[in-house]
Amino acid sequence: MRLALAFCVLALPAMADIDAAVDDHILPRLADLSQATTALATAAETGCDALQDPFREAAEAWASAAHLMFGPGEDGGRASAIQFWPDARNATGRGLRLLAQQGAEAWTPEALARASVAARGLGALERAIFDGAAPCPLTQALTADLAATAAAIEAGRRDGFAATLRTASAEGNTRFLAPEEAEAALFTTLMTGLEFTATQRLGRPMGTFAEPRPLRAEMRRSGRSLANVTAALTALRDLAATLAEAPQTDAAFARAISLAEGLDDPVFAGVETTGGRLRVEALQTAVNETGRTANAEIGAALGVQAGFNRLDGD
Amino acid sequence: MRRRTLLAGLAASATAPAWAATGATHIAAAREPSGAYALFGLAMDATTVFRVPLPARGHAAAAHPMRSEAVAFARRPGTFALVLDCAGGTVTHRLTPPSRNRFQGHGAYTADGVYLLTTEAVHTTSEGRIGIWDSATWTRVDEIPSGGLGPHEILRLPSGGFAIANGGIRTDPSDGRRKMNLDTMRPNLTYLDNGRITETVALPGLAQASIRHLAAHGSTIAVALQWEGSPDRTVPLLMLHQRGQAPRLFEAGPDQPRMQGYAGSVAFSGNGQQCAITGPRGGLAPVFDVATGAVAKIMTRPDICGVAPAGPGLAFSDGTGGLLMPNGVRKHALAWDNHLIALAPTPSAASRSRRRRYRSERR
Repeated sequence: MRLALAFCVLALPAMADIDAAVDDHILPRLADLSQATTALATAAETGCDALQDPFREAAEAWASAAHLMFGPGEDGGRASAIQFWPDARNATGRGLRLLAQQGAEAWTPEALARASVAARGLGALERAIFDGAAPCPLTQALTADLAATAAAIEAGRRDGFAATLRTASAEGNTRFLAPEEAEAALFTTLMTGLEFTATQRLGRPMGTFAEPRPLRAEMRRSGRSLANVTAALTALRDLAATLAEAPQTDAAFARAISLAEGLDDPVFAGVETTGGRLRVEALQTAVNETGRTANAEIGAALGVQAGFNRLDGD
Repeated sequence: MRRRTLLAGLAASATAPAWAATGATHIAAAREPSGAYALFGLAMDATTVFRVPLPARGHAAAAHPMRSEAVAFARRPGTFALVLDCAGGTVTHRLTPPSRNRFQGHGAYTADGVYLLTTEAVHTTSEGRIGIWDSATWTRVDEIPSGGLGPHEILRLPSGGFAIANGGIRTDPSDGRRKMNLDTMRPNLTYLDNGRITETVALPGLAQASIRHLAAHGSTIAVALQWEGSPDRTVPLLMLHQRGQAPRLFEAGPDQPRMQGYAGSVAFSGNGQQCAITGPRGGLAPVFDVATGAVAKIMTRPDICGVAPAGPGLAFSDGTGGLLMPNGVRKHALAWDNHLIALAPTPSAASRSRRRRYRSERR
């Protein structure tokens, strides 16, 4: 009897604790983001000379929460309004220039809420604060707009989407038809976050061996390119731990994070040298390996399958 | 010969059990947990009412307008299509294209059900062809040009003719899927009346948007696009067109990048007021208000791909088993395939006479 019971428990897919993921991982990180962006806006109220540190703190909070943008974050492009990146066509530079030309009428949070997302958020603020690309009143409005967006995401998550996640399979919840679907959504978020870190945060500055693109590094103006990678990996490791008991995944994260911490190349300028490129590539390989491990270990435990139609291509 | 065929077709439709008797309002193919494939009949409460086993993954199916018969097409480049008796749960015929052609995943019956039209491409050149089959004997009776390269979906229009999505892509004959001409591709929407091409519509400024899937309500045609250009560019993926007019393009505002340049299916709501495209890559389906072009709502489901009119509204299916029908929502232990197909109501007498004109023209 005892043996049979043990078998049953083992045979069931590991059930992730949705409540724990919501209460201990998602909501605190969105609250941090809301707080850090509010602190930036508050600092800007008295002038634009001392915004570099508050900007970096907001960026750190964002890199720790950017993977949580499914749900209210992605509705209406709110995530893009926090950070429009990658930006291959320099839409942020062009959009910010246009806003600067439009004059004070366009420099209110209300007007900005209707402006192109590319000209808003951390990307525009980084140019304003580190390159002096915007007059102070515009910078002030951008910080207020950013704080409002982060607050709206946090409120949407706390008041609506957390309940949607927790009430999977309840009547009227077409988003999640079963508890496994809420788990699968969190797992997808983990995998997407790892992929984004490997292919965008690291892959874009790496470019190709023949043509490295260090100027494409995320937030290079504020020197946060590598710091964002470390913050993202740390947050994703925490999410993985709430999804399943996954020692191999945790070890893979530990390895990737230690490589990032040991990399003395804050904006990936080193990709232009062979040795520097190899070190960034080693980190990218470790992140990809973490993804493969998580897919095998956690994806299997949750019974999640890769997209049937997404990958069909017809 | 043609007259006898016509009589045989009518006799069959009079005696064979109709769709209504199966209880199904929609059909869709799916992968089962065992890895096997089947075509299912679906009811408005999201239950399955029949199952016909398939030998391989399908792409789409065409439903006979009266008989409870469907033709399931293999994924392109297809070398077979299967005629299914949905009430009996069996495969009754296997269609094989002429050796130089490959099926392209879709087909459509004429409104009277006498003929089946299949999208095909010449294997070596991707030149588009439409195969015409007699649905009583399943002999091939004719073949006509599709009006472009790589046709994908063909749709019977409420007004009488057909619309063809010529994807514009030349594929590598060695695997039939690798794309060879993305820099020079010229997709088009082709209208076919009485067996002849009467209008061809290209996309202004969006030559690299492959025209792949179609829907119709009244005189309006909806076209779902798949972007083959730079992934850095976000483009509209839904075009609405009325004969003789300029096309209208629809975009989901700030949510458009989530589509990742790829729309899997398109459908009008039953009342025609809304039009939805599905984005399996981003797991979303924007539903547009046809009159204003505004986004009415966004459905969010992982791997969402199937969409069809249902009652006055819409139904959706996804690769994780979710089936959202007007009278019920269910998660099946199935991976629903690309398309959800609404079974057409019995055609009106007027459209039957139009079909007769099509036949006399072809004779």
